[in-house]
Amino acid sequence: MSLSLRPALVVLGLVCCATVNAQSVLKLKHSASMSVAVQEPSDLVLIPGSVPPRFLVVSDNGYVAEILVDGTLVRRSEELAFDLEGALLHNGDLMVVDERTCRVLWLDTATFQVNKRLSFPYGGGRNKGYEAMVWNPVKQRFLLITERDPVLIVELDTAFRVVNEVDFDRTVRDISSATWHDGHPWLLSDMDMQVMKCDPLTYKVLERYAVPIINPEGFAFDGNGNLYVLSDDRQRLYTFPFPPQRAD
Amino acid sequence: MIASGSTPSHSLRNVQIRSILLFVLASCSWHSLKAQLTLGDGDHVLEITGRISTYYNHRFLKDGEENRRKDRFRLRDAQLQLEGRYRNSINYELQFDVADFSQSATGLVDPENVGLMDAYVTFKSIPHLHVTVGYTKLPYGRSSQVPFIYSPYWQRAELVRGDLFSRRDVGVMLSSSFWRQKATVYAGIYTGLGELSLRGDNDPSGQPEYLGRVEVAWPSRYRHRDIDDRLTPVPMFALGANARYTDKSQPAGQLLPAFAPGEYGIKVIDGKRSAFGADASMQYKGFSAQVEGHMLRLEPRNANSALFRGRSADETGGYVLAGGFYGQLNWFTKKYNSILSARYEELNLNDLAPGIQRRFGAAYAYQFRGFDCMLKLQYWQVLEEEVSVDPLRWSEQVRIGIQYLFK
Repeated sequence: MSLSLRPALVVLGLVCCATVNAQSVLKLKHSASMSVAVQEPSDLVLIPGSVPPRFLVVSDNGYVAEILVDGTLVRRSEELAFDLEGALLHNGDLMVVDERTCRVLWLDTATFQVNKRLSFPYGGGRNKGYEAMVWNPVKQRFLLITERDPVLIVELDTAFRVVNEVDFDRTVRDISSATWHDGHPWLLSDMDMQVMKCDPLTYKVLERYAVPIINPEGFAFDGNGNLYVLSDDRQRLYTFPFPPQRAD
Repeated sequence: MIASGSTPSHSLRNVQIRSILLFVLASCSWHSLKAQLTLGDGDHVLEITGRISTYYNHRFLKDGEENRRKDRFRLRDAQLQLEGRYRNSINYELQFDVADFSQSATGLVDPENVGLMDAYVTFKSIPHLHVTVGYTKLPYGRSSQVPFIYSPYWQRAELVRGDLFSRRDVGVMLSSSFWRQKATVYAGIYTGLGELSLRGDNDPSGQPEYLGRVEVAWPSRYRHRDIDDRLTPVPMFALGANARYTDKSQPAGQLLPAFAPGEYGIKVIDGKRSAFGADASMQYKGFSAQVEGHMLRLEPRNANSALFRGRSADETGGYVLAGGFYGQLNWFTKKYNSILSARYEELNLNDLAPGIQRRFGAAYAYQFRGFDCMLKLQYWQVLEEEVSVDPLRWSEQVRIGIQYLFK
């Protein structure tokens, strides 16, 4: 074989190896998107009963903000931590997760004052720590979820003692947010760009939906047919009709 | 306490061994004996990671060549990385490769495998401005900024691997990001000796090197990565431009330090040296592409410099040009945990010398566990040589091995 032919054959081989990466998940299409006046937003929770919807958003820069559905800033806290990645509203308390220090902070929702702070030591990589928190009413457990390598669901009882650890689906590369909706825990994967409906007892993935946006870091359902997904890199809030209407 | 019958050196060694064992045990003792990769006290968090990679290299030699010393296994990386954060005001990093130290001790410096890789502190207290002090990667060229662990290749393109211009140095860098991190500006001042700056002294000229770089991305911030492992749902683009300048004209009777000029004799010269470069990158649904080019203008102080190839000043105008470009196409498939890549590059190491160098390369990587555990296969072919500057004994090369990251 002449030397000059070999590069062409190598390229041909690479092209021949290429096959379409079929998606087995239903792809969602957003109906609106708004710029968010929060730097590096990393999670959000819907304020219950707010009409039009308002959200509490946490930032990678360590502060909490309240925004309108159009992304407008209503108010923001001072810097409370270093790398806030998860948020949960539970019985009027706002709990936020600082990934770097493995801490959960309890905030007064009206003033954003820190009322309590607890550490949940975890030895994973600096950017692979706790990324999400959600309350599971079926098991009466708080769930602290690590980002990746591995994705661990750490169950806490109401006294915030660790009572169980569950390995999440190994085919999911990471988790960036979690929420509760319609009787199930839902998880969001940034790297896989999917929201997943999970079994409340086993956390097995029941349904998957693709959210084709860059760097999705937070999400929430409003119960009125809307799914809101927050993009960190783009600092935008996307609205998806949900559940989606199937073409067939 | 020195045990009976043991020498002080033995005792010291025992203490060192016990210290290491204690550190390892402490690092593994959390809760369910998970690997302890981060240590923290709330304000200060330290992450410990590392990498081991080994490959087998085979060269297809030209007819008549018999020396097969490059057909061998090689421990490419045995790295430890300590990366820390103090509150939101300070970042620091210490990264070194013990596999490279023995080679560096011989005096030869492989710019891609230098031993000490990072030793810097970044201060972030000033709003919108980061100040980095120490030894680290230079803000020159996009490829150089991409961590090697995210590449399917075993070697960077020849143009950007550090033989034409240095990739690391000691100095001070200012950087600032804006437009939601879609744009970043860098400016720095460095010793100018590149990786050789670790030996301590500057060259007899005592002159520094100045660098600057601008990056712009759309529609969002674009990380320094070559492979689109996230299958980006909308096309993303990044453009960069950079420049550097130094005047290392040596005082009368003085010489540049040994090895400073590098593999091709143009990395540091006795004279003025300017470099300009531009790069572009895009990614979309697993496909990605990069292109990068650089032009070096060399103005040797001495009219008899070998860089002039014996030509008169009238012919050369008093300067020599060198440079080139490379382009790379990549495809990531999550379904098959695989990366495929092809690369083409052209180099002109001296415009006064006849010919150019052209190379083709391809790579395949299979991810057992993302980039953390990856089989990598690289193929090179030399399409054309610049024989008068860089004659080669081989025509093709294959390298296969495993990269493992503990992080």
